[in-house]
Amino acid sequence: MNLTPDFLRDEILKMAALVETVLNKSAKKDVTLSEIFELENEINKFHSHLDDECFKYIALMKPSAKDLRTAICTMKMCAELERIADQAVKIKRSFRKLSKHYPILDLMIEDVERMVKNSINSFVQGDIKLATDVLQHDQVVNELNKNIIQNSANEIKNNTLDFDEGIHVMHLARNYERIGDLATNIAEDLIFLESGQDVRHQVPKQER
Amino acid sequence: MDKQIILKVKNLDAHFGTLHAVKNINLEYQEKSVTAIIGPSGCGKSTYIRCLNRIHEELPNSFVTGQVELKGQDIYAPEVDPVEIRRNIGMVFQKPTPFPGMSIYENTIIGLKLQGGHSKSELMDIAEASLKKAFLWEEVKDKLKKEGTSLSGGQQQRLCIARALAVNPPLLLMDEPTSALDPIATAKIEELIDELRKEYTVIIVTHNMQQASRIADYTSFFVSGDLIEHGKSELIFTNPTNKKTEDYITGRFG
Repeated sequence: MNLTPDFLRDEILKMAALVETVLNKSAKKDVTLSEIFELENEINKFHSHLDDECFKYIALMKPSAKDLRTAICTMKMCAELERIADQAVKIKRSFRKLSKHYPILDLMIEDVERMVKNSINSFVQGDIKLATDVLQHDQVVNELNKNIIQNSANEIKNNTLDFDEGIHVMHLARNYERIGDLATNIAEDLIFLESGQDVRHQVPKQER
Repeated sequence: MDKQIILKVKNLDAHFGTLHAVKNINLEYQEKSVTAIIGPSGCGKSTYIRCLNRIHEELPNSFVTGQVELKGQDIYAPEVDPVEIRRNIGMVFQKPTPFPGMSIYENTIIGLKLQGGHSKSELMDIAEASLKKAFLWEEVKDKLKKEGTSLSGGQQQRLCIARALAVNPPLLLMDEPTSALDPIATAKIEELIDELRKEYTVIIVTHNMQQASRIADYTSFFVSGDLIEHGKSELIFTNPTNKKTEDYITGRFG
């Protein structure tokens, strides 16, 4: 039987590679929506297949310690990755409706793609330091999101930005911010996998 | 890739005096697969596998009815010599049973010696191959002349597996082979069984459900001599169809 932690790792990395691709392509002008759908479909299949493999691995092999954490983290990561792909589809839809290029989004795209890449790399390398960088970077992305939404709202008010166009820009910022959160979750999963420590929900929410 | 059916058990009943220990079992086994038999104590699982190489009937007041077709031949047919069957279908027991007074080498090839017709060099080759298959060769190659009983418990158990493999059995039966071993020795035997499935058909009785789920392609669940459920281990341990199976594997019954 090939139900081993190494097998689960190999499979999740294949899925992660597809997710990085779909995310990157969703912001590219020359890529069609149907190409994005195809990738997303493949990622969905990975999601079901890997969930099932993790379930079987836990049921049949009764793993403990790090092996058990690997199975649980693979299941969780699998769900986060699938949601990133869903966001990529939304991103592609919004981009198709924009009439021009908005440089303000470029910085956010670059940052979020790097967060996703680093969260996956932290998993590959078992690198808690890299995962911690991802967690810290999430705040930068959250700020960018706030700024873009604020700016777009102001421009709409001042009639310097078309209303529909502005809504799509805001949606895009929101989608990327959401992906940043998902990458953060993956990094938190990795920290749990490597150290057994739960680092979630440690910063109290500030009142606005 | 459909595997061939190597063993068919039809309407098998086994009795121990007045006790009806195994009741009307009908099962088929694919070649090169591992099947685990689980169930509470006294459910007939040991009796059942003892019917598969005709050692159950050796006990006083015991008898078996039904057919056990191994590669199409009923091993209970009148013309079949039970001694031949026992020699060819090895059984590994709970406590390792190396023959005392025999060296590691002699223990390995005893079955072949009894068959006769093998040259010395053939016997040596088969002993080496069998000990290698049983993951024991590296540990004993420099002391083949030493007594089998001088080995550790786990090594003795692997010696018994080597002894069973030496006659190139169509079927390998194991009756709780790891229940007297520590976790490390157990892990080695499980790893070995995982390797054996590439060449052999293995049927193993185990009290340890984790062991069944880890190593077996198929699992049979027995209660009071009845076969309650049989199927792929991944189904038995994730979504069994029978309530009794569910209760047993989740520790609520038995």
